Amino acid sequence: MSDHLSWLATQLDEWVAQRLLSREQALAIRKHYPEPKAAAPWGMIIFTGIGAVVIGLGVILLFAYNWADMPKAAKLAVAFGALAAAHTAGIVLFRGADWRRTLGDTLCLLGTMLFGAGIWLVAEIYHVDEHYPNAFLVWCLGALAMAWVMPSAMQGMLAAVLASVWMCCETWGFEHALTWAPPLITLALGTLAWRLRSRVLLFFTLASLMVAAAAITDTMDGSAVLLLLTVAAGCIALGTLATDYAVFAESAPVWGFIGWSVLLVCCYTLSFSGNIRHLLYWTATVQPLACALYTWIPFALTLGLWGILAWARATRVRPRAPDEHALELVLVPLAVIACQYVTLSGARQFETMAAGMFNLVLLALALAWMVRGCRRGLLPRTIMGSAILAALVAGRYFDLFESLAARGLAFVLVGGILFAEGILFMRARRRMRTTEVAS
Amino acid sequence: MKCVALAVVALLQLAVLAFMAGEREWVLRTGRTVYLRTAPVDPRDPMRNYVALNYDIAHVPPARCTGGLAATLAHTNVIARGTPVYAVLDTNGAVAQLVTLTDEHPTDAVYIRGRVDSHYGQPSIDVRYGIEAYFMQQDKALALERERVRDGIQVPLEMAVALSPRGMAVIKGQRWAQLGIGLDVVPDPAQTNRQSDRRFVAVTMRLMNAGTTDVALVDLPAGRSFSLVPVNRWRRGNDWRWAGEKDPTPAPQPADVVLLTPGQVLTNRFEFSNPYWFVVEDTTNKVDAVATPLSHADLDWRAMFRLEYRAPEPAVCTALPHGDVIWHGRLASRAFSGDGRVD
Repeated sequence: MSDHLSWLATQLDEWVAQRLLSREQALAIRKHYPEPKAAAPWGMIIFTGIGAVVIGLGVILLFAYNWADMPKAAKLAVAFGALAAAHTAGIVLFRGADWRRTLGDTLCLLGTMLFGAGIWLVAEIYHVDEHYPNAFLVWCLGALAMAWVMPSAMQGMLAAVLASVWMCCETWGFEHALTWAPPLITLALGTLAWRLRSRVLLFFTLASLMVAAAAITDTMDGSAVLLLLTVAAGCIALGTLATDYAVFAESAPVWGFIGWSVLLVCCYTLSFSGNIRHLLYWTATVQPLACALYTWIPFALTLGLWGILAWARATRVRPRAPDEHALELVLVPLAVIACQYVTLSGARQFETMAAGMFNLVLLALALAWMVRGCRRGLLPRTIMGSAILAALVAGRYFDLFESLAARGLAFVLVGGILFAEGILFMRARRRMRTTEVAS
Repeated sequence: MKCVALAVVALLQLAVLAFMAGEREWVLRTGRTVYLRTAPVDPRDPMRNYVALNYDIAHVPPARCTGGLAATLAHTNVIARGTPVYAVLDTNGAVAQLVTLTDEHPTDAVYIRGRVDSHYGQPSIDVRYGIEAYFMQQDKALALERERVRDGIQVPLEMAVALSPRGMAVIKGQRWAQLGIGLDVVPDPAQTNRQSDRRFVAVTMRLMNAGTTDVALVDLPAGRSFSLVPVNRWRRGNDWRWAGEKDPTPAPQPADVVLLTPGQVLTNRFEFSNPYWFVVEDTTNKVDAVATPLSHADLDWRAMFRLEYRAPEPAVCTALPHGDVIWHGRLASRAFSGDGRVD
């Protein structure tokens, strides 16, 4: 029984005892909230999943000891046998229902981990020291095939991690910019996340895409920060559109979390004038066409998404508060366009001006979220706005305010704003509580 | 239906492993075995136990390149990392030697398939053949590393490698070379303790019979069996070369043959005040370069040399005493610099 149902059962008993409800009414209420189907609890999924991954890693390390007294045939038999046993047990259990299905999923995940362990083990037995990213690619394809056939979010997550490791090894280790890989991997895993309506898999896919695409762009002498900022802005727009059009609406927090985290970090990094020159460069000396496509396609897609969002707001697809997203609709595309312009035009020589613009974007966002949070009593929004403002002042503490008096004044001012914000937030919450009681 | 598809994917995973193992097992059983000289270095990998192998044929001078590689070097002086290459081998000796490195598929030759690891205009091209790791149990790897140096004499490791007709190489085993080499620097007695004053006047070379049977060496008078080889390791390479590198080597005489029983050592001392061992700056813009003693030349810190023992060709040894056990091939010492640093 879930915590909520357990609480409800206790409360109903109390209310019946206090004669607030009749026994029949209590029963009717209890029936209104049936027990969920006997599915495997999330705890089981998480712990068994982590267990399968840790066992697989343990097996890799165990074999890495390279037992000299163990014959080659025995090592191969263990590797092949363990893989076959894990998959056989997994498939048999996966045919069942409820927790058996989840356990089967986990055992197949263990099987895929053992597949990876097997690749390294065979390499050890035959002293193979070839192009090692290929091992991650083969392992990733094994996990991806399993993820699609089952279908399984856990296998998909493993595939996402392996794909990013593979792409980063190729990029950083061998300077191979596999430009075709991130879109393909994202397509393969993104559609699976859509099919399963899995937010966790979507998160892993987006994280994998961001890491790999940034590494590849950097290798091509493009700007990784520009790409990250542009893709992050696109994610924010997609999250809002998912909610507006109620299409995979539960994915909105994932799009929002990834998008805002990356966008804010990028903007904050670019708010330091010294970083503009180093991060917003674009020489595209390696694969110039691919580098241009990596710059312009995300830019066009992101602006298109923000255009659709603006149109959706104008046509009121879903009723919203008047100030909701009003400022973001201007600030986020502005940041993307400015970033693109500074990078490609070579205007980064005006680094102070460019950094100043990112400071203003952050400041406007911080103030807008603080005001909106206080007005509507939204704690997370208020905290985020305050954190950005505090980070911005801390950042400028070293490179703007040379005078100790000015630094002191800035801190007093920010402290005063945060103090006032606390009072306003408390008032808003009190007002909301009064309205609730009155209604 | 879904279970069938799942079983197919699981079987595919098994098939991938089976193919990896089967292909190499096939090469081990049917491939041609050659020996390649290497120096083992234990990398202390936290995830795996292996001895990293540094093959002699992994560092190729541009002069050995043919085909498209030679053309690329002539035009750009840079070969892209990952370029597939084929190392053609001479397998007539006890240890296989590199003949040429090419990017064209050789016909009627023994070769190893590899990929260029790094080359950005350096004086040598680094190549990886996929056999640079020798996986061993941790204690055995450390024992192998320790066994390499015996009384200060380094004994090279010779890896037995099975080669498929298409150039795939699989490590089969290892053996110690029959000859070990040791180098000791003799410091200048007049030098002070200051780092900048470090000088040396000579080196002592020791050649040891590291095998279990007798071996004979040709030790020409005045150290003429040895050559001073510049080490081209850094991007700019070594601007200094041995002034006597083009001097002809005298023909070996019966009195030059030295028989070493197992464990026996032949010692030679090389005085760098001897003009025969002088070095000269090898730059195109210095036409009046003067040969100077290695220990007093104004050497760059990267300028390092090896002393290399070069046995005469087998054909000239047939008439010499112990001709059947005369060691053939080349054996280089550790690298040393003008201020007496030893690698």
